[in-house]
Amino acid sequence: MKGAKHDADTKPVIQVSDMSFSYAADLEPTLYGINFELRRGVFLALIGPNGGGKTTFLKLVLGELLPSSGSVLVFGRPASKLGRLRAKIGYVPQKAHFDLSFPASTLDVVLMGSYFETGLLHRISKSQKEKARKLMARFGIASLAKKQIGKLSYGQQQRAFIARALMPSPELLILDEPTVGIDTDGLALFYKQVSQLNRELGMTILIVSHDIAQVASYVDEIACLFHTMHWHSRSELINEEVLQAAGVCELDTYLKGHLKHINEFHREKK
Amino acid sequence: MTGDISFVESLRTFEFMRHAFLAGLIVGFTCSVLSVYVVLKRLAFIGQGISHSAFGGLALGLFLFEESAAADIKVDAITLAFCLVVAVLIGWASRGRRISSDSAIGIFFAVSMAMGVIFIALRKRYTGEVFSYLFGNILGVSSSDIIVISVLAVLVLAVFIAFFKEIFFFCFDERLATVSGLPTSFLHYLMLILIALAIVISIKIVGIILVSAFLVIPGATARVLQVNYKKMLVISAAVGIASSLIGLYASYRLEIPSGATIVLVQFLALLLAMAFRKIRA
Repeated sequence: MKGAKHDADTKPVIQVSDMSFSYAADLEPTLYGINFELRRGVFLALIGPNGGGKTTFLKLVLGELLPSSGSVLVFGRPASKLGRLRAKIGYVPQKAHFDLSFPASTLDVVLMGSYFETGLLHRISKSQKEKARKLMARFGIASLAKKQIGKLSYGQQQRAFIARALMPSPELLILDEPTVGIDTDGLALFYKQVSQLNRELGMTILIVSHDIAQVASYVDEIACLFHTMHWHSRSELINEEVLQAAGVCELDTYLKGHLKHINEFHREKK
Repeated sequence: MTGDISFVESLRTFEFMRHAFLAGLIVGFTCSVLSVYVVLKRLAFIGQGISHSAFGGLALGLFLFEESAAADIKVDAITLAFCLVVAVLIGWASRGRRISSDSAIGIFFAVSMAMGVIFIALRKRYTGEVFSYLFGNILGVSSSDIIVISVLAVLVLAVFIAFFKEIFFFCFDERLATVSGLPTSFLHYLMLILIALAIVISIKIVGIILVSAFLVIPGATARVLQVNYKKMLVISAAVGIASSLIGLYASYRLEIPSGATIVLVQFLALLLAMAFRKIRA
């Protein structure tokens, strides 16, 4: 790990305080009472059942949505006003919304990751192309550089999008359910590569998953989100406390069932 | 008029022929470059919406300045302002979750046409010149029109050069481009404004009804050939210029309307591209 060099390093990368969010004033909040902190260099999994607000939470962190109350700070600044700091975030969407016949090669897509840094009017430099090739090699897609992105398998596309996210050498990597559609062999490799980024480069990583069993052994911390943060602790504790009781495969149903009760309990208390 | 002298000779002899020729080439080029964006971003329907709203603007201009001829600069200015407002409104409505973009376009399209019909009916003078706006009249292009058209061509080209990669990423995945820090809102409106400008200047040549073909077919032709983005721009521009040339020549020889002829030539290019792809596959 890089360790604390100056003040900025000790500040959390993501800091959410008393945050709530609802899509409309007359709707029940999608997220409420959230306090959350992601410290530098931590590899964290955000888990929770589908429909529990994970994607909404990410949109708030990415500055696409504004909190209804409370604050979402990234690198110490409001998430929606990051400016140049935006280049320090690498984001891998769950599903990129592109037309499968879009005229972009795998290399083109990876290079898109350096557009913001490169700035308007400037062309992509040779060193950036070199970097893109290295990243593609790292994720085993170097041979697909010239292939049209839509012709890649889902897993290959996902790796191209990770390479894209890594182009500006981000300090924070956010992956939204990156393993949907990747086979079991691919999964182990995928997690190995991602944890390497964390260990070797000290990259802070937030990975969203609905499968605790997959992520538990790789990450440092796990936070569970179902409209509010239910727990957030070191992953080894979660392993013992919850994993067995949860029933590895049925986590989703498990969480839904139990967390609903907890949520209702919390609301009654209020 | 035709028959007696050749196409080239007529260009040499008549200024209005030279104007028509130049205007056709430049408009063909400008619209076809924009058509790559329109096709990749799936905005064909927006082109329709904005071009038909030009009718509302034109009719309003004719109504307000009853004394002036349709070619009057005041009427052009009203048409342009009307189109820009509609373009921005469509862009604004399609951006949020207010209403879906196709409904927004459908509504603006119909409302501007309806306004146009009423303004025309309220006008007391003869309204025959409206037809030249509906179907275009390339032989009526003046030298000041040529200057305006050229300025816009340079502007469109400059925007494409300046935002070459940003437009590419924006078309590929708008959300990812936004999250990656690209100025996507700015691009969205900038491109809509350029499209509206291109439509207004092209109307004189191809007419309101057919102008959207210029903003779709060349780009679609390049798209069919499955080439990369850069080649798409080049092929699209080539298709735009070549079909203007061939279309103008054919319309001169056969004495048929120029705008419609160019559109049919563009369609022929599209068919050829599809055949070429089939053979190659």
